[in-house]
Amino acid sequence: MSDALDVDGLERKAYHAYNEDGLLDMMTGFMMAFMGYYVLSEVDIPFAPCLAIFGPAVWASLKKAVTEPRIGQVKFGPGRRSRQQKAIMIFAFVVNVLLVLSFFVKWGPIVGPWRSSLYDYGVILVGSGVVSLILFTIGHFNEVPRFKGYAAVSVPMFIGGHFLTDSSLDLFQRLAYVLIPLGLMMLAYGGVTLWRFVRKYPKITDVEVDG
Amino acid sequence: MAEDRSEELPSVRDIDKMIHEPARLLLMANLYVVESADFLFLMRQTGMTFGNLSSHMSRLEAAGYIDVEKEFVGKKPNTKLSLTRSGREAFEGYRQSMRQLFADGAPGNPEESGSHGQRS
Repeated sequence: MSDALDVDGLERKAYHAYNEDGLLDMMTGFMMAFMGYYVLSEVDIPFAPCLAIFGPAVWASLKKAVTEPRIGQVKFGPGRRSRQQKAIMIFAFVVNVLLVLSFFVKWGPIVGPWRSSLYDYGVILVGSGVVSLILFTIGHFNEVPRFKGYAAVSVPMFIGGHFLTDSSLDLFQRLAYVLIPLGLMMLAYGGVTLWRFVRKYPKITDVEVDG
Repeated sequence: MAEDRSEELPSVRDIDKMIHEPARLLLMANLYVVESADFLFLMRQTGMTFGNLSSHMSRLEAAGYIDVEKEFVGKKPNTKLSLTRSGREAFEGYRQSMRQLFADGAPGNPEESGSHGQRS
């Protein structure tokens, strides 16, 4: 009975169950790995618009095809939605700050040692300061602790990337060499989480659930 | 000495028995924390069988505590449940009465009531 009266705990349990499928890990990992590949291969496709247009649709289709037939549909309350909106706003803010900074560093009036330091330690600064922060934010606001783990793992990866990648390469190319393994790691772990989810929640036939 | 405490605990008599049944309480609590959920989600969250959930769902619907909406998603039937306004109020009232009942300092609390139930 005490379980039923702990409504916050119940809400968290319901939310975790719905996000136990590993799809968030797989989507984020795929985007990061693809972004790295995109930078290195210099493919001429508009990555950001494609992501903005197809990302939400792909996400919704995957949830509909994989998660909902196994665990059902649920609409969470306004408190949960406002947390997610906060995460999206922080994400958008960080991305915009990054864009403005890159613009100024590349074409702006910033000169001198500050600019060269930003370039020299860009893999650590941009990687740990932006990518790890984004992963942590996703983990914190969506209450998916795995993402805090990815954020923690990504910091030594970016530090390692700074020392292991060729310093003559462009900053974004050096970042891409870290983003690809990081993304693939998330994709793989997301796959394992999905496999566990599918085993834990097998599909139930329509006859059993039509109420 | 056995004393009749029924007058000291009026909230016991006020407890909503429709909600107090454990399975229905679990169902109500799960619906309280979301806007709406379908039958399968509630089966997964509560661990109830189809028949059990269905029967409690009908009782709560008859009491006006939940709203049951049957629709087709594609070609598949889907039953969506949500708490009605009175269901939400009833659940909040139930939580309030249970809190009052088990609050510290309530009659019968061994640490408050002196000789009754003292630990040896």
